Amino acid sequence: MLAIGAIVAVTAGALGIGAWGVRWARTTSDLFVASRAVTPWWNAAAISGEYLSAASFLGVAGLTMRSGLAALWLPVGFTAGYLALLLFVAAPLRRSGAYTLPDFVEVRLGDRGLRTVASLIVLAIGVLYVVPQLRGAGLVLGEVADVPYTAGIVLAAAVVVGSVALGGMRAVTYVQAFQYWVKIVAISLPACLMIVHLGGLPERAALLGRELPTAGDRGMTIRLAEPSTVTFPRATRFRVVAEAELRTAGDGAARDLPEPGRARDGVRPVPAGAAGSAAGAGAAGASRTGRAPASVDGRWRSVGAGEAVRLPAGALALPPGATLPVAEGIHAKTGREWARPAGGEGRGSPLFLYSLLVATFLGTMGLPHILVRFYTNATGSAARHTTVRVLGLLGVFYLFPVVYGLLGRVLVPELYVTGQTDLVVLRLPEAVFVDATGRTLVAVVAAGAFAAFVSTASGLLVSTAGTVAYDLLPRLRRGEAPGGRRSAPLARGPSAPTLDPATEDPAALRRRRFRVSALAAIVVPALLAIAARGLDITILVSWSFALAASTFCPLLLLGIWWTGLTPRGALAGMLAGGAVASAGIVAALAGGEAMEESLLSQPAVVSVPLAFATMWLVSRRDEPLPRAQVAAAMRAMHAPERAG
Amino acid sequence: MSGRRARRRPPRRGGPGAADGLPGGPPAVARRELDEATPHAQLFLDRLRRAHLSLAGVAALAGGGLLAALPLVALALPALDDDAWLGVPWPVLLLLTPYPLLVALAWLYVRRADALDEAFLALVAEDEEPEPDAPAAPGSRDARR
Repeated sequence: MLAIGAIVAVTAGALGIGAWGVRWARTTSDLFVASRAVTPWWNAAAISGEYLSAASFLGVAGLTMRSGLAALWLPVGFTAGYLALLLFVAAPLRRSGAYTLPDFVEVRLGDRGLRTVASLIVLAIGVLYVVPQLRGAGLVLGEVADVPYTAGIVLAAAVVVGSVALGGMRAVTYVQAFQYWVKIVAISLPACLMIVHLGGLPERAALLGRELPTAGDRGMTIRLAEPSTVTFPRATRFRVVAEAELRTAGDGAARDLPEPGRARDGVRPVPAGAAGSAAGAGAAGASRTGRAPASVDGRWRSVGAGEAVRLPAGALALPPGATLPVAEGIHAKTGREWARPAGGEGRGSPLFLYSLLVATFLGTMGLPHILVRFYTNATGSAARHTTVRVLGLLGVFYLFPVVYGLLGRVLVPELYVTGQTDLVVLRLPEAVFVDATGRTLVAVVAAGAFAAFVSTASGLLVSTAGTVAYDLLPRLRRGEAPGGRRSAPLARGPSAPTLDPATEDPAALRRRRFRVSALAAIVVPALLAIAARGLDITILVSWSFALAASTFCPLLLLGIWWTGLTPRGALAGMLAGGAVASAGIVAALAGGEAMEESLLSQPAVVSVPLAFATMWLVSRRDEPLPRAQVAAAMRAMHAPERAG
Repeated sequence: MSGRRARRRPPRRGGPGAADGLPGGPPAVARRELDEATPHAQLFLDRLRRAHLSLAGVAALAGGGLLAALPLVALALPALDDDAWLGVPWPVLLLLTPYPLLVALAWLYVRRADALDEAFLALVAEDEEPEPDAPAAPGSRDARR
């Protein structure tokens, strides 16, 4: 209840700022206002607020717990991406006046067809990035409020559409800046309180030693909401009892059983009848896969090391000191293996790691919702100063997810059994504080996670819906500048033309078209998120970064710094890079769990150089653009504003 | 790559000092020339772009080198497994070091980049008839079309 209250309060706060900002900004162009009044600090907080997504808030800690400290390269790359953006893109892009990537294509290469291709890529990246956000929101709502997954996604999608339709692009800088501060407080406050309460990191042996996570001194009982297959890394005993039986009879080996709010070990209680039928299904599954079946009979069974067991829904009881089994897709790791930042197989393998760093380092600049934010900087130089602050703000934020990963491995190891490591941020506060403090802190992190999801998803939705409404749907008045945001690709700072009152009527039409597009642009990812329930969400984030790094990064870098880029070269490079990156990831998805941490799922190290090479070679063989056109674009991008 | 392409077309690049700052070339360029995109102004703009590109390249090498080196450090030092500083395991410390370094690097870069822009502005002669900023933007749009 507390958590729902916190989520509602934060969402209402954001909507309130949006609404207040709309009234304030209505009299004049928001871009005009923004470019005059928004300081680099506000802009930096807004960019960070929009950037820190559910993947950062929940995913980094969950992945750290799941795969080990090697997962921490991900936030390093997320942050370093802003260095690349700062060095090569921030100031020239701001000076060009391009508002979106399709705008940039038109400013630099003057090609309408290519603009459409860029729009389609924006759409692909946006959808891929929104899906994990919605899934994260569904997880959060299910966890704190027992909202069914599908209903949670529908609800979250409605909140996002509502906030976009209410706020649009106006005042969004202030809304996003507010979201950053919500997120930083929501992640840092519980982390600091927990560290203080525990007096530092507990039980270093479990973190670093040769041990696998165990059931502890009193044994452990873990609820399984649905039948699942787990692998026991060491020989031990276990039994499965029906949830109802457990509640009434009590259990000697059980650890702190259901105190409301406390033992959310599994997912949700399952009625005994359902558990029984699920047991049948589990046995059938076992005969198919040849794994040892188990049933809800409450008898102790022995398993050997490395044995996979199909468990029915119910409560899994483990004796004191037993080594915990792990869910499918998780590798049991000793503390030493877990803490190794590089080396070995999977996520720590050097090639995977470098590929991930390439994708995030170069992919950030191609994320559609980020570049839009740079337009609110007054000048190119202000854009640079903003980016430095973004690096600082992100660095501060990423100090904290690791705390949840470290503590989670020690204090909520049952997530390894259920496979829900993404929930570690939400579970941990109640595992540390058993009283009302725990519940309050869960409310705080839930509100932060929801803010993370809403801010990123609405930023992306504005970008994708804008692309659909203005680029992909037939243009309102073809060939004529439609006024508003797209009227002046090369206009600068305060001199950007304001909304023309004469275009009032078409503006209303455009607004309606934008709203319809926004609805369409959220329905598709929402359906995908419902379908992708069991999917590891990080692979979708990897996909969008790899796609951005293999298409827009070469386009931006070569377009800004090389006079020889031609439309045909840009097209060939984007298609080659995008196709190779997507093919790798689709193959990884088709390959399932085994491929999850292979190079196929992180193809940037191959696709990015390929895209650069293709773009360069094809441009060299192509007929160059008219020199005057290139010179004018270069001048717009590189000459400081005051040079006229 | 931009260097190769640029060298082939007039105006030829200036002396050896051309890439690092803007001094060494002709003393100044008129604002009007920038607007009209004369070859003389083009020379200045090309130098500015190249100076920015080399600065960004150096910074990217530093930042990219840092990122590329960290995994190697992690691979090379498995012996530190059990070490900790103030109770924080060393792999965590290693993976948190990039953040302050990235900020420091970015800050240094921004100072240099702003200095390059200032140096360029100092070369734009102000003795022409003073032009407000506003008409400049439409002018550049026309030039592009």
